[in-house]
Formats: sequence, C-alpha cells, structure tokens
Amino acid sequence: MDEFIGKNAFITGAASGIGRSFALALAELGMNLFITDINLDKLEEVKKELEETKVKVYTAKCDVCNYKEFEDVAHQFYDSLGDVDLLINNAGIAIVGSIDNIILEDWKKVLDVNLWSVIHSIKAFLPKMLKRGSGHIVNIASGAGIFGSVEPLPYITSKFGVVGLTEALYARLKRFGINVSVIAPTYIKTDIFKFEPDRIAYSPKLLEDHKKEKIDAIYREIFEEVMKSAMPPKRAIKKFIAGIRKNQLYIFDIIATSQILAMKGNNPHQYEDFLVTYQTNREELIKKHFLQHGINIEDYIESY
Amino acid sequence: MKDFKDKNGFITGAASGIGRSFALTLAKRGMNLYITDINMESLEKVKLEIEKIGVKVFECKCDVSKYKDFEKVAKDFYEKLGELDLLINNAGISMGFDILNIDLKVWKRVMDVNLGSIIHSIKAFLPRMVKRGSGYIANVASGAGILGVAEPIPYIASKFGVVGLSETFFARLKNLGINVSVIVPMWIKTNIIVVDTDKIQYPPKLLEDFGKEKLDKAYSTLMDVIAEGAISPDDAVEMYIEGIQKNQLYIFDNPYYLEALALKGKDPKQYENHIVEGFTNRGKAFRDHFNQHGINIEDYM
Repeated sequence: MDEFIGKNAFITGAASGIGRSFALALAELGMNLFITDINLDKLEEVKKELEETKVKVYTAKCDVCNYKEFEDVAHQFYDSLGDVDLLINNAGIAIVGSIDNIILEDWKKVLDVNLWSVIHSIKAFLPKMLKRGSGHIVNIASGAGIFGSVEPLPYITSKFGVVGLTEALYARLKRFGINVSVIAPTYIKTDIFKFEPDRIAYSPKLLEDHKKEKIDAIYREIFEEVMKSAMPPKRAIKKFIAGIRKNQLYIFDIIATSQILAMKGNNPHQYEDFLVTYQTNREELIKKHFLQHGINIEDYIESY
Repeated sequence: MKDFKDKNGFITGAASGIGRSFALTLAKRGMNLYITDINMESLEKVKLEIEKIGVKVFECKCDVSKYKDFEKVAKDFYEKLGELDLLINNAGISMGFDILNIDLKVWKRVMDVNLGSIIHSIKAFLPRMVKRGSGYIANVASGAGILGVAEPIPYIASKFGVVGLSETFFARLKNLGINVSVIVPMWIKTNIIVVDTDKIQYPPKLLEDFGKEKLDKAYSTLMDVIAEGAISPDDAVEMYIEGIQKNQLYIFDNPYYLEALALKGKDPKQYENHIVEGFTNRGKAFRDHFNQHGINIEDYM
C-alpha cells in the first residue's frame, strides 16, 4: 500500500514498543486506528498521545491468545471504522531461560501469544478482506524467525512459524489483491527486550543459593549490554513503513539479516559456524557478568 | 555420527514412510532400535522386518502430541537399550484444504503433532544426552519448512517452527557434544502424500455437491500427479544418513532448497515472484485435475 491517509489500521500489542511506535507513525500519516493490547492503562496513554493528530482512534482490550476476543474486536472495528486496510499483528512475548529451565507451560504461552495470535487475527479479519479484494497484512516476526541463535528457544520457534505462515499467505493472497509482509526486527529498544524478571525462568538451584534481587541485577546488566547498540523504534518504524509501501514480503531493519539468509543457501558450513559462534559469544557474555558478581553460572546451567 | 553399529536409535512415526525406511536402513547398519507410532498394526510389521535383520528392536505406542507418552517411552527405552545415540523425530501429519477454511481444530492438531512432538521429545530425552555429552537429534521437517508455497498453511507454519527449533538447538548443543540436524524432504512417496483422505478438510459445499468418495478419488490421483518424480523413502533415507554422518545442520534431498534460501537473501523480489508462481502453478494443476473429474473447484474456493 502506498497511500495511508484516511485509511484504517488495526494493531495488536499497541500499548508499547513497536506497536505503539507504529500507531504514532501511522497516525502522523493520517491513518485512522483501532489499537488493542491487554494492558489497557498503557493503551489509553497511547490514545492520549494520538489526540493531537486528529485521526480517529479506538481502543479495545484484546488477549491475542483468545480467538473469541478477536471476533469481538473485529466486529467493533467494522462498526466503528469500516474496512481494514492495514492489519498489524504485532503482539508478542519472550520468556528467557536455559533448555533445562524452560517448562512446557512456557512453550505454550509463547506459542499462544506469538504464533496463535496471528492465526486468530487472520481467521477474524481475512474473510472480509478477501470479499473486498484489498488490504495489507503485516506480521511482526523477528530476526529470531530468520536464524535460530541466541534468543529464547520458544521465541525462536514461534517466530519461525510466523515467518512460514506469512510466506504461505503471501503466495496465496497476492492474486486476490491482498499484500502480506513479515517484519523481522533485530534489536529495537522496546519492552520485549526491556528487563522483566517475571519472564526469566531461573534455575531453581540458582535461586536457592543466591538472592533473587542479585540474579535479577546481573541479568539486567546483561540485557543492557546486549541492547547497547539497539535501534530506537522511531528509526526502525521508518524502515518498516518504507517496506510496506513497496509491498515487500520480507522487511528487515538491517542488511545483515538478508546476508545471513543468503549464507544459509550459499554456504551451509559457514552458516553452521556462524550460529555456533554467535551462541558461544552470548554464553561467554552471560558467564562473564555472573563471574563479576562471584557466581560461576556453569554450576547451575548445563545447557543454555 | 560416523558409525551406527551397536548404537541405539529411537524413531517416532516409524510405522510407515520415512520413519519406516530409517528404521530398516539403520537396522541393516547394525543399530538397535526403539520404534514408535500410533498405528500399532503397521508398526508390528516393521518390527518383524527388523527382527529378521538381527538387531535388537523394541516397539511401543507413542502419541507424540502427548508429553506423558514420551515420558513413558523414554523410561522404557533407557531400561531396555541404555543410552540414546540417535533420536529421530519423524512423526508428522498434514491437514487442511484452502485458505478460507481456517479451522482452529485442524491448526491445533497439526501444531501438536508436528511441532509439539519435537518439543516433547527433546524435553524427554535431552537431559540425559547432555549429562552424557553425546548424542544426535535428527528432526524431520519438510520443504514446507523452507518455502511457504503449496502445502496446507498449518503444515507450513509447523514445519518452519521445526526448522527454527533445530537451528537454535544446533547452536546451543554443539559445544556440549550433541549434534542436531533438520532433514528437509522434497517429494517422497510416503503416506503423507499418498493421501490420508480423512485428513482433508473439504469445503462443506463441495462435499455436499459431490460426496466424499468422488472427492477422495480425485484428490488421491491428484497426489499421484504432484508426486510424479518423487523419490522412494529408501533412496531419500540413504541421502539423509549421509548428512547425519557429516553432522550437517541442514540435510536436503534436493539442491533446490539451497538455491531458494540463497534467493531469499540475495534477491527478495525474485523470491516473491517465485513463491507466487509456485503456488499458482500448483493451483492450476489442482484445477485442471479436478476438471478432469468433472468438478470445477473454483466455484467452491
């Protein structure tokens, strides 16, 4: 799509991070918005920020794991704004933890929010888009949906799923006049990388031997170091909107992601080395920070 | 892993297709096996074939969508065979029909079997592999985990998930002495394409107008057309075993997928055209074939 003014967008996970930045940027381009999240307080704050822009803005709670809620908000959307021109499936979470400590419930939670959200959203919104023969679906995946390295295990799995789902939709919907894109951000300064102790599955023995506050503080340091070079969301969103204007299937924030993708096909051995080196460096970083605080993390984690 | 003789393998979905061929080929190379499936009748036949080869073989029912089943068979495996050298996560299903029929139950079933199976299997078997500092995990994905073209969408999403999971396990486990591969079959003559018609979700009106029997017949012969040039699972498994011997992360049976991956990174526009074309051609083959059976499929999609 290349024209945004007077058109209608729906965004999940719009209370913070990329979702919020998308809302602000699209309102500036004159789009009417229907924004959702599970955190209604923060969502209302975003709505307030959008007041000056004069576009229509509606808010609703939407737990993306729950298809019923999508059905409800889809109806509210049609009643208040009419047709969906741009559907941004952005909501996502990450639960951090080593292989030993991630439990099946963590897997389910992450797959529910990151992958099922997109399935639910498509089921709720696609039929009307197909009838109308227009619209643009944008799924926010991650660099972790392109190459499987240092991000948490369930996060990577869910985001690869989103990428595949998007490719399949792209191949099927083009001829109906519907565009589909997948955005694969690397490190953007958003809440998903903000340090949240609740989303870390610590080793039980580690918690036994050391105060939780101390471990939290070490993890916070690690997060901050990883995020040092992260891109501000505003700059990233500019690139993403440029990609949407060009109806690109894949939209990246940095060129390296394309290069890594090409490496997979051109030089599988180099790609294997790249994955292992990247992972090893991250493990070294974690070890280093824990050692600085007198903890040998290897006593607690067998496999990262 | 170089050598299979006297080592122990565990295979899910071993009653047919790639799983069965893996079992027989590895048995011939001297590997002891623990084979599972939900179809016990066919599994029993595979077991008899393996017994003739002369290695140890155990079988057990395992519904891969249930973690409890894995816990049980893992315990039984350790009791009967000892350490696990090669874990082959092969069980998979494909369901679905077209984009307009987004059936959440179908999605859940496909995700539970294709992706849940591997999460469960790794949860059950990995801790002991890590303690021992050796072992090999081979996940059977699909070309549909590399390119999102013609297969049913839930199948594609689940197989992309399997590929991502394999990549990250490869990266995490290499330094611990454990190898991980993801096998990417193209068209193999297996049950997954030799149509299990119960797994097709026909549009209700289509079903009403023509009846299941006629549709199943058209669909089955369609798969014959699509799978033309497909290689046999035995031939494919020879290639996969070679990949396992080289500890490759990605194991393909066709260089096409390497080219496709490179194209994604190098020339995104061309890749976009490629997958749209791929889907369009498949759709055309589909329409033409149903037309030959007197069914104008476009009226229903």
